[in-house]
Order: sequence, then structure tokens, then C-alpha cells
Amino acid sequence: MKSVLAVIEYIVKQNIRNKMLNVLTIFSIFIIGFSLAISELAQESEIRMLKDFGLFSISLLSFITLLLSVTIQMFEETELKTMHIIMVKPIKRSEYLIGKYFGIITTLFINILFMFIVLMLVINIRGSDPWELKLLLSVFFIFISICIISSVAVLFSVIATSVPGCVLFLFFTYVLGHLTIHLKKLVAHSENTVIKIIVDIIYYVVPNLELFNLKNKLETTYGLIEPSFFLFIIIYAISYISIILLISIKYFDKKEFF
Amino acid sequence: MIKKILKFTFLFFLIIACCISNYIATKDLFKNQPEWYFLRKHSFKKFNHILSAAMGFRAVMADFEYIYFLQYYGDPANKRERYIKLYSIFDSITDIDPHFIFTYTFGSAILAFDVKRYDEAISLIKKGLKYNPTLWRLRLYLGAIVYKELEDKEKYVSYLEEALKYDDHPAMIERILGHIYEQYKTPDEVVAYWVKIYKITKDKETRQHAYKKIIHYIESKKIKNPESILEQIK
Repeated sequence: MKSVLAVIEYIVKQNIRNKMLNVLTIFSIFIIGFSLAISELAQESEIRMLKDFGLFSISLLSFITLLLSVTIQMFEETELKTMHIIMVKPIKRSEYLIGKYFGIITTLFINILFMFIVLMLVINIRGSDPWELKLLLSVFFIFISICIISSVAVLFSVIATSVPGCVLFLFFTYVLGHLTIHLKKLVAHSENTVIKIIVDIIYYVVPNLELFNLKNKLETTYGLIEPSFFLFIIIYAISYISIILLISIKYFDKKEFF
Repeated sequence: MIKKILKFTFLFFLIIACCISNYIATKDLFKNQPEWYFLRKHSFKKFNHILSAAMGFRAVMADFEYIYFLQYYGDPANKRERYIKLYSIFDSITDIDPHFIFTYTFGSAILAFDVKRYDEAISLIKKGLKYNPTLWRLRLYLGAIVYKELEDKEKYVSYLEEALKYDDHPAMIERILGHIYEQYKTPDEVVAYWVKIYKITKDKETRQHAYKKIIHYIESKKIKNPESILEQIK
């Protein structure tokens, strides 16, 4: 446990050292600038737009932070050989990987929390309620979906041999993660069994990120703010992350560095 | 050996939990979300609509299109051709987000009371009602537009007054109603209305408009007690 905590601390410090949190400044400037511009343009739809753009930016910028974090760490591990130094220390490979995952998650948590506080402040200044349940849940779900995609990022960083390859895989996973539910619905009435099987495989293998996309449904949340739905998506998130991390650990244990 | 079996059993249970929870949550989503939410063969007319739905940022795309509408409506050059593209813009916004209520209310008000294309206004409201059948405010707008078309002033004024009682009415309704009052009410009644709007409106432009109107009535010396009016808007 101690060594996992040490790795988490190392990863968070490394991310801060690499100026990863600069994205927060970009967000703050963007959202404040946007709110000023939109108050002139949208007038009566200002608050709706502020929430939509705020949540969209949080989602996008946290994904970009994740990409940067994974890319820089992978570069340092493989090109600068920092992995060799870690491997000779009294730490299990599984502990390092779990620590790395939670280190990334901690950085992203700080990131999302700060962005959300800025968004809440702007919403409050503009005269709306920043403590709206749907808004809070949307941000919480953005964080959960980022946790899932982070586990996939850790897996790709272990499997992939090059940094661009890892980034590309991650990007496609993100897109497919939102698309799978639409594909599932599209083929629901299809009579072609082969297509159905292919879609089912994609559907169960790729993370189903659309389940956590409450930001797109701020106006249409029928049945989505229900404890049973939450319970199932939380179970899904925990089990999916655990499976991916177990596979990553298995692969990482067998990987040769020297 | 036992450790290995335990490991595999644990992994097996995780996979089962993952698949079952995914299946049930998806089923819930299919049940609770309207049909239009999901991509279908003919669901969208534009590529950016498909892209935004597939990438999970449908609401933001609708907002972008709404901003485009505001720019289009604000450009005086488009006024000459009586904002010919207005309906197709509203249609596009509500295709991507059929729950963007403000587009129906604001859009139909512009189409009916500004450019006087009642058929398009009614069609937009009907689309709104199709996707939001419980939103009875839209029926109110429909009534107002139908009576405006039939030139039944009393009826549509009563519908507009009813709409004004709701917090989320578009500011345009406030201005339209003021201009209708100017046609048949006394200057004192009209000024009282503008004072009320000056105090309650959330829209900066409408507040300025109300202020100008009040000052205009005071300067033209048509009202009985200008001092008390000035006192109220201080």
C-alpha cells in the first residue's frame, strides 16, 4: 500500500512538474470569455449555453489532459528510460501500474474539480443555481467516464510500442465508446446475424461511455436520475476498470525492459 | 494452483458483472430516452448532426446552430429577403435537440409576429408539441398565432398575456404585447405596462426598449403623472 501511495505521489508530482494543470488556466480563460461573449449573443438562452459549453469543455479538456499525461509518461518511461530506475526499486510491477493509474486519476480529479468550481462561479455570477442536481451529476459522470478511459489508457501504454500509436488507439476508443450504443440500437431490428454478433462484440469490449453522458441529456433526463440506473452504471464502471487493470497487470508482468 | 483458480473465478465474476450491468443500464437507456436520441437510418439531415450525436456533444452543436440563427437574425441584410432561411435554421436546431424549448417559443414568435409567416410558425410549434407533448405552454403560443392569423385581436392578446405570466417566456413577447397595447390602450395604461416590463424583464435590450418608450411618452406629454413614472424607474 505504501509503495502504491508513493507511486501515486510521484505521478501527481510529475504531472504538475510537466505543467499538466496549465489546461486549467486555458479552461478558466475560455469559460469566462465565453460567458461574456454569450451574454451579448444568446441573451435568454445564456444559462443553457453556459452549462452546455462548460460541461463540453470539462469533458474535452480532461480527455486532453489524460492524453498528455499518458503521452508524456510513456515518452519518459521508454525514451528517457525512467522505467529502468523504477524497476530496480523494491516495488512490484502491479503496484507500480495501480499507482500509475490512481496517480493519473488524482491529477484528473484535481483538474475536473477546479474546472467545475470555475464553471459554478460563472453560473452563479450569471444568476443561476450552480447546485443543480443534473449539473452536479453530469460532472460526476464525466469523471467516472474519464476513470474508465484512463484504465484503457494505462492498458494501451503497456501494450503499445510507440506514443503516437497509443494516442491514436485512445482517440478511437473514445469515439467508439460514444458510438457503440447507437450501433446497438441501429442493428437491434436487423436480421443479419453476423452484423449483430460483430456489434455485440464491439459493444461489450469497448467501454460504453454514452451511459455516462448526462451532459447531453440535461433537458431530457427521463428515468436517468434514478438510483437503480446509477447502481448499474457504477457497477459497470468498477468492473470494467478492474478487468482492464487486471489485463494490464498481467501484460506488464510479462513485459521485458532490459 | 488454487490461487490461479481463484484468480480466474474472480476475473470471470468481474466479466459477468460488467456484461450484465452494461446490458441492464443500456436497456434502461433505450427505455427512458426518446427514439430520436439514437442514430437511425434517416434520423439526421446533416453530417455534423450525426458526428455530434456519435461523439456525445449534441447539445453543444444545437447551441452553435442557435448562435448562427442569432447572427442571421441580427444581420440587417437578411431582413430584405424577410429572413427566408429562418424556418430551415429552426428546423435544423430542433432536429439535433428537439428539447431546445426556447427555439420553438422564440422562433415561432419571430415567424408569426415579425415576418408574418404563420404556416411556418404553426409548423414549428407543432414539431415542438410532437417532441414535448406535455409542454402546454407551446399550445398557448399556438393559440396566439392562430388567432393572430385570423385577426382576432382580443383572443391572441389574451394568449400573449397568459404567456407573459411564465418566467421563461421570450422577451420578444413583452415587446410585441407593448406594441399591440399602443394601438388601442390609453397612454397611461401603455406607460404602466412599459414600467412593469422595465422592472421585470431579464433581457437588457427589452429593458432599454421599455425605457425609451417611457421617456418618449413623458416627452410627448401624453401622460397625466410623469413624476411618479420617473420615480418608479429610478
